[in-house]
Amino acid sequence: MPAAPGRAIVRAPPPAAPAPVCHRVVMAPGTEGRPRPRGLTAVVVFGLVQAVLVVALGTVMVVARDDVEVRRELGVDPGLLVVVGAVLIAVGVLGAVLAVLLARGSDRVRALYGLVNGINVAVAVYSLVALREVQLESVWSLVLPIAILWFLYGSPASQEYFRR
Amino acid sequence: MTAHDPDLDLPGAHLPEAEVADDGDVPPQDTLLGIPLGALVQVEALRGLALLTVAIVLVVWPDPTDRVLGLLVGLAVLVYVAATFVQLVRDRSSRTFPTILAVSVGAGFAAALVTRPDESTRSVVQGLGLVMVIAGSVTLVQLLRRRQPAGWGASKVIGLMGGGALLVGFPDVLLQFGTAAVAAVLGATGLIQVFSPERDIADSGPAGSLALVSWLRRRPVLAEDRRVLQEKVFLEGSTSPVRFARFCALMGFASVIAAIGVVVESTAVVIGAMLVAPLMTALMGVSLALTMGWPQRALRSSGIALTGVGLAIGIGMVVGAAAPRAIDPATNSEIVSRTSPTTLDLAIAVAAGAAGAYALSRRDVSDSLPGVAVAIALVPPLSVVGLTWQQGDWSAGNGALLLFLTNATAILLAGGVTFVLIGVAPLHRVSESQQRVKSAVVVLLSAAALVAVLLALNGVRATQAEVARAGVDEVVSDWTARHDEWRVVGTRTTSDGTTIVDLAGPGEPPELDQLLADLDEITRGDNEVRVTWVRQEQASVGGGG
Repeated sequence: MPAAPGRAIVRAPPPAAPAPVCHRVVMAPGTEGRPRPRGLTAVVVFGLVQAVLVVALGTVMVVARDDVEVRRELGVDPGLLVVVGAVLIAVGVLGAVLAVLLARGSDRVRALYGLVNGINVAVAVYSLVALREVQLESVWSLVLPIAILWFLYGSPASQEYFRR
Repeated sequence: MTAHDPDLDLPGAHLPEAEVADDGDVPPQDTLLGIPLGALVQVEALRGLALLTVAIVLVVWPDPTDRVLGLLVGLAVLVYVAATFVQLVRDRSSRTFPTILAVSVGAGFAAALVTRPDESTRSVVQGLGLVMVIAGSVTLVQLLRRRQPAGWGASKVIGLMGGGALLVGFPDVLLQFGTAAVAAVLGATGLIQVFSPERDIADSGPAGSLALVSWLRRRPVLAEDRRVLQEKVFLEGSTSPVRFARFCALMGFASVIAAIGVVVESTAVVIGAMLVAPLMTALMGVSLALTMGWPQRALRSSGIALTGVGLAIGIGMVVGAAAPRAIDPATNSEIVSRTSPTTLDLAIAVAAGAAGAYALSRRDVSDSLPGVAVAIALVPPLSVVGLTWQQGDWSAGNGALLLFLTNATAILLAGGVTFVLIGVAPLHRVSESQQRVKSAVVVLLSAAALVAVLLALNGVRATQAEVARAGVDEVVSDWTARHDEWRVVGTRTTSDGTTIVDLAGPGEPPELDQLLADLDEITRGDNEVRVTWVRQEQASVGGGG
């Protein structure tokens, strides 16, 4: 059918291409689209594994609270086992949440991670300098927190990732 | 109100009339050791007095000083950590890896120094040594990669690795050594600042601790004395073969006399050998050559000294083999007194070495040289080395060799320092010429550090043995006080460390298990303690009954 006189044909613009789905999670402002550094991913994975292990330990304590052998080994009553287990589960869950937030690029969680690992470094240095009987072990316990601090604050990719 | 009298502002205007000289001049001021009391109030003098005080404190209370210093350093680091932490919290841009790491390490370090200063100071010294060893290793790898003549790099590697290894292995001893060295430098600087008549030392150049260097730079250059000294200590020119032959002859005579003196246990004969021996002159030659940066002369003098050392040891061995009487290194007093040197021997050797350099450099005090030779005693220890090695007593021989090394090292170091202090070796010449003899100087300093450590360890061991021995005597004395019928025949310690207590009395000693347990506690179970006893029979007659 010919077009009616006086009416222009307006072509609809082509539909916009769908936005690429890089991250299913909501990223912290400014970190969208930026590739996560591998070192930071390693820190996150380490945090998650640690959290899972803590949760698992807490669960075992709660579940096995009535186990005679466990009670004999630990020498505590079931009530205390439940409390400690619950605290461990909570700590593990909190650790997992923090790890996820770190993966999303939260600078506050990075600061918290930095604080915790800074304390770990300080404790290791204290053992290294003042406790001569555990000097050798202290050297090894220094390596991991320093590496984590480097991945959080040292590597250029990490600095770029957390820049806002 | 009276008008202001300008005369009142003049010095001495407030003094009583009797104290004002007739000509109107100010009378001589009160002095302390020749220094006007007013001059002592100057800033440089006060600074010098403060340095002197610190030096005295370091010498008198070395251990508490180390602890206090550790504590102060810990508190200072703690303040830095706290300030930086506040900055990290406030300013997000300051959160960098180096800053966070510095705060973390600093916090641990400060906590360690504040709570456990003794262990921490030791660990810090060891850590410093470890860093030096690593730095030396890195330098060595770089040298090997370049495949170029080593030069200064080799000396650096030796110094770093040797010094680092010593710090790691013997932190306590080197800490004490370092404290003493710092005290010496502070004391010297303080003395110069207080007693130097020229107040402009600190004003004209770098002030404070560098006053020592300023003072040394202003020492007169005694070139004439140096020429006289060179003629004495270096075998040079056309007469050098003859002088070397004379040196060997005198060393041979001295070695024979010393070895025989040791065998017959005659102190007078041994002292005679000390007076004959020319070894100190050769070592002074090495010292002067190193100070002035003359490698050829240092090498030649070292060769001459080593010839003398070889002669003394060799002749000692020959005399030991040919001696018509048995030599027991464990009981011969001349041997025993030379096989276990301590840091006290080092102190004697340093003083004697300085005196030797002084007496050799100054014609008017050269009469003191025989006394120096007796004090420093180079040949007798070497003779003891030869005699004991020939007897197969390697331990005693090594102890005597350590004594010789102590004396020789002290001569080289104290001699060099004395040459600089009295102006024979100008400081600018010393600093410019060290490039030429750097390797030898580094080796010498490393050897000196090693000797000091060995002496300190030997001293600690000897002190522990003495303490244990005193404890054993006390325990046995208490035991005999409870048992009148028993007496102590003797207490001795064998070469393997076993302590033997000889008792005499009727039958078997009472409370024997308790006595053994007490002795074991005193010796901390480190060494065996043995109690032997003999039955004491007695017969009596008379008594007036």
